[in-house]
Amino acid sequence: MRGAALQGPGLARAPPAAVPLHPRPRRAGFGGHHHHRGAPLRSDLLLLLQQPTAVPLRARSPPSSSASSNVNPDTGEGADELLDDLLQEHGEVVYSAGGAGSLASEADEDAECLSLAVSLAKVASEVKAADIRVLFVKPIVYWTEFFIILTAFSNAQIEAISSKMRDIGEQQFSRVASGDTKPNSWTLLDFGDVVVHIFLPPQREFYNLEEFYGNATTIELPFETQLQ
Amino acid sequence: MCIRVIGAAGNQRYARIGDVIVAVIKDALPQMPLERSEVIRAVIVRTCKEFKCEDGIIIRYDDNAAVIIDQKGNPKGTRVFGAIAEELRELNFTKIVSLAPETLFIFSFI
Repeated sequence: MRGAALQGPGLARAPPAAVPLHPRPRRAGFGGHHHHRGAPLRSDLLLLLQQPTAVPLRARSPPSSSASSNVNPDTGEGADELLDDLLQEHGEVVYSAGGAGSLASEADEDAECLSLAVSLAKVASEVKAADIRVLFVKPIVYWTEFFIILTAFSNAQIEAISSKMRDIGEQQFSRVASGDTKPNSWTLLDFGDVVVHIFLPPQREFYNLEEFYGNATTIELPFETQLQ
Repeated sequence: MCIRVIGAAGNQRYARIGDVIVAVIKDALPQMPLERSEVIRAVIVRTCKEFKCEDGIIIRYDDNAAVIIDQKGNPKGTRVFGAIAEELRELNFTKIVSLAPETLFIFSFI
């Protein structure tokens, strides 16, 4: 059945007439809260969105969140591209809840997290940790932005790495790390947006996190070449 | 089967999501590293009984599930299956969350 039948199940495929389209600003990631301005505008949006996509959209139960959940995530990039085209052709932003500002602040936060990640990796390389990888996992995982995976060879080294990382986090970036306080075969430091995994060599092969997050882009570290 | 909830008060009868339990294996697939009647520790990750977050959101799964860990808190397996709630991260089980294929972002879609 057609997705989010606001006007009841009788809403069949409608021709893409010259319907004045007033789209909502695209939802910015998860948890976007959308204002709804009455039925007629939503139905216009529905009509135009439903027509070109040949893939049937699943019905979603709460109609109040339908405007954002019309795009069935299972259809993937095809629906997104079609929607983008349509919005560019007919789109007109009626109300924007400060969308431009949030994008800029997101970029700032990303830059800060990246600098935190790079400085933590630098600290690790100073203590002679091996095989440091910084993965950008924000597109894959929502609860953090960067993973740092590294190998240490003894408990003392793990202790040194984690204490230096905590110092850097607190002094330069004012972030307190939660996670493992005592060294472990898999020690984890959680700085919120950056999560550090310190493995002993057998554990690194056993858990194989790089394979699990194989889709994440690796950030190149400037000092890695200097080590070798 | 659960034998004991670790860190529970004397009058706490049941384990919730995020509790570490001592359990015994009642049934195991053959050729696995763990066998029947071994005593293990595990972290509860999903319960059929609803779990109330502090901000009033209630979450309920269709099954009960736990992740087997060792004495130090490292998961014994390499992957976990099914959805994991974000609350485990605050309870210092970020390792399990990082192995999860799907984590539940509770503060959305309402």
